[in-house]
Amino acid sequence: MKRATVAALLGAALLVVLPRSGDAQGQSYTAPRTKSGQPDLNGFWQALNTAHWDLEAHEAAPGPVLQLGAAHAVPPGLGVVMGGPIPYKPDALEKKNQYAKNVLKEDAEIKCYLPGVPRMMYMPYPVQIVQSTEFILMMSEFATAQRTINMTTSNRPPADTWMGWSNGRWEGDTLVIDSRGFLGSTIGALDQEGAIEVRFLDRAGNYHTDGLHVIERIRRTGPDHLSYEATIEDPNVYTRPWTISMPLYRRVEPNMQLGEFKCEEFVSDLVYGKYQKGSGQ
Amino acid sequence: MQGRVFVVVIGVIAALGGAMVSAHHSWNTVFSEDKPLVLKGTVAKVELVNPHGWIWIEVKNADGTVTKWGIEGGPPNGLVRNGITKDSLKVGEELTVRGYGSRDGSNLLAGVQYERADGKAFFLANEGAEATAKARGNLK
Amino acid sequence: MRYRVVIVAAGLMLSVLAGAAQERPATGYRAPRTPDGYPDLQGFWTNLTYTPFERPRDLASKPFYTEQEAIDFFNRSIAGSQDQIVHYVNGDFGATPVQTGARPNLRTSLVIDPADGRIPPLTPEALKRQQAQLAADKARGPLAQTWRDDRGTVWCVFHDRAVPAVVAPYGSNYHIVQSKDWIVMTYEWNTERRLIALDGRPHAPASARTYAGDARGHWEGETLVVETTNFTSKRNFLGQPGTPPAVDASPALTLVERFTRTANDSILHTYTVTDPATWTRPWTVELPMHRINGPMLEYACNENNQDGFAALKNARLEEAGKLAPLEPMRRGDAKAAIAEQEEKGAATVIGAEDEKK
Repeated sequence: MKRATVAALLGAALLVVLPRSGDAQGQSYTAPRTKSGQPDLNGFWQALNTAHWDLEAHEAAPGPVLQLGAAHAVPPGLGVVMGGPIPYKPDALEKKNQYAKNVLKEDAEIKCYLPGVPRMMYMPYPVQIVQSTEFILMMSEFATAQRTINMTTSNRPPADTWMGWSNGRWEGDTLVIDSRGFLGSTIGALDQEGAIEVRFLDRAGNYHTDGLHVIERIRRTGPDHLSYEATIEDPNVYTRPWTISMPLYRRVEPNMQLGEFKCEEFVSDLVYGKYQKGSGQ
Repeated sequence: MQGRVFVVVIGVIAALGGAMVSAHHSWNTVFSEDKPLVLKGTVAKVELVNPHGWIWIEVKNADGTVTKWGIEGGPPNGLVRNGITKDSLKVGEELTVRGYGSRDGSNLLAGVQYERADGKAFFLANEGAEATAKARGNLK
Repeated sequence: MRYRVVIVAAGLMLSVLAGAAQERPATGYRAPRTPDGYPDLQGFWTNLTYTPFERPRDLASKPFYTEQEAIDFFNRSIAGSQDQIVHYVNGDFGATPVQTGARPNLRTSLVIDPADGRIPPLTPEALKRQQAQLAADKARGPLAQTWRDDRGTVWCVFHDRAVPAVVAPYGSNYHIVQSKDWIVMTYEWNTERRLIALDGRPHAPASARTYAGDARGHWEGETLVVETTNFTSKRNFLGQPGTPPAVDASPALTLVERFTRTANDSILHTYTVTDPATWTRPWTVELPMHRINGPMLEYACNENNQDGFAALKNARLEEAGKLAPLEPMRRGDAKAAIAEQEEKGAATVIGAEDEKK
C-alpha cells in the first residue's frame, strides 16, 4: 500500500475517532420531554469558548484598539472547527486575510448588526430557547437577535434576512435545523458609513456571503449541557462544507432571564457621526 | 358632490386621530415631490427587507450608458403574506416605475407606481384595500 | 373616482361585530389548551384598527357606536385611507389596516377609562417636563442634528409602540409563542420582544431597567394577566401619531395587561397604565386583536437605515445652503398624482426606448 494512501486512511480514521463535544456521556442520556413529547431544549444556554473571537485554533494576539489593552486583546483558543482549517477557496482566503486586517470597518458586530447564524449561538451572551410545537424561538441578549425555527412547515425563504430562514425537524432526540435565505451584506442603497461587505462568522474575519447554507444539530447530553454542531456551506467562499462543534452550557442561576442589550444606541454616534452636527463635515 | 366627499374625508381624518399618518421617517427629508420621475429599465436585484424593500433596475440613458437606480418601496411583510416573494420579480424583466427622486440627486427613487412588461401592476391590486377585503368576504 | 365609499352589507358585518369588544358578559368561549394545559394564545395577531386612540370630544359621552354607525365609520375610514402621504402606496404592499386585518369596532375610542375616552391630565411636574421637551424640540427646528432627532432612527433602538401597545398604521402585529414557563410576544416593528415569565418569580432588581420593561404573567381562568415594571427612564410614553404628546414617566410606572381569547380568531387585550407621578389617575386601553397569517419577517432596522443617513446628510447640506429647504409633505392619491405629472409632461422620463412609428 502506498504511503500516501496509508496516511490518508490514518487521517480518515483519526477524524472518525476524534470525539464530538460531550459525546462520551451524551450518547446514553435521554432528555426529559415537553408535554407534547419532544426533547426539552427550553432554557438559557451559552457557549464558553473563544469561537466568537476566532473559530480556528489560534494563539493570543493584540486586539484592534490599542487603548483597550488587555480588555480587548484576543485570548488563545483551541478552535471549534472539526478536521482541520476552514477550507477556503484560494481567492476567498486572500479576502479573509484582508478582512482580518480591517475588522473595525468590516465586522458587523461593531455596528450592532444582527449576528446571523451560527454566530449568534456562540457569542458570549445567553441564548434563550422557548419551545412550542409549531415554533422554536432562539433569542440572544445581543441586539435582541432572534431566530424563529419553523417546526411544522418546510418552505423556501420568501425573502432574505440577517438571521436566515430556519426549518427544523427532530431526528430522534436531535434537533436538526436547515437554514438558508441569508443576506450577504447590507442593502445596496446604504451609505458607506453603515455598509458592510460580507458577514463575519467571528471577529477574525472568517466570513460568508448570501450563498450560506447551515445545518445544525442540537441535542441534550445531560441535565445542563447541549451538544451543538453546525455544518457550514457557501460555494462562494469554501471548497466544501465544514463543521464546527462545541458544548453549550445551561445558565443555572435561579431566576435567569435575558437582559436587554440594545447596542444600537451605543454605536449610533459612531455610525452616523460623520453626518451629525458639529462633526466638522 | 366633490365638495361633500371632501368634507367626509376631513371628518374621517380627524376621527382617525392620525392613524393613517405613517411617517416613521419624514419622507420629505429624503425625497422631493418636485422631482417626479419615470424610469424604464430591467430588474437587476430585489431586496425584500424591512422597513423598506428595494428594487434595483438598470436604466439605459439617452446617450447609451446604463445607470443603476435603487427604488425604495414599502415593507415586505404584507407582500409575503399575500404570496409575493423575492423570486416574484425576475432578474432581467422589464419594469417601469413612477415616483419621486432624491433631494440630493443620488440615483434613488421613492417608488409610487410599478408596471411590468404585460402592463400589470407588480404588487397587489390598485385598489388593494378593497380587493383584499372583498376576497376575504368582509365586504359586499 | 378617488374617494370611493364602500357599502358594507349590514348582515355580514353583524357577525363580525358580535366578536368585537363591548361591555357585556363573557360569551363563555373556552380557548383550546396548549400541551401544558393553559389557554392557547399562540399565533400571529394584529391590533390594527381605524378606531382612534382617544375619543373625539364631541363623542365624550358616547363610548359605543350602534352597529350601523360602526359599519359606517369603518367604511368611511377605508375610503379615507387612500389619502396618504405621497410615497409608496400602502395598498400595493398589503399594508393597509383592512388588508392586514382591521375590523369594525363598536367602541368609539381605544381609551375606555377615564369615561370620556381621553388620557387623563398630567401632574404639574410631568407637564413641566413635557413642555420643556416640546420647547427644546421646537427650538431645534426641523433639521436633525444627531440621530436622536430622527424618529425613524430612534425607533431602530426601540419601537415604543410595542409596549404599552399603541396601534401603528401597519405592522402592528404580534407573534405569540408559549412554553410552560414563558410567553414570548414578538412585535413586528423592529422585532421587539416581550419575554413574560410565568413561573411566579419576582421582578428583576430595581436597577435592572429596560425599554420593554420586565414582565411577569399568571393565569386567571381564561385570562393571562401580565404585570410589567422596570421601564428605563430613557424611554417616553405615548407621543405617537394619534396620541397625546410624549412624556417620560417615573420609575414607578406599572403596566397591567389582560389577554383573553374570545373566539377562534380573536383576543381581547386591555391594559391599564398607573403612574401617580405622571398622570393624575390611571388610564385603560382596550385593543381587540385578530388573527392574521404568518410569517413575520425580521425587521432589521439599523442595518437598513438608509433614510436615517439621508435625513442627517441632507440636514447638513441644507444648513450649508447646498440643498433647498424642506417643503411640507402633500397628501393625496399618490398614484393619481404621479400619473398626472407624467401626462402633463412634468415628469422626467429616463430609459424609454424609441417608439416605432
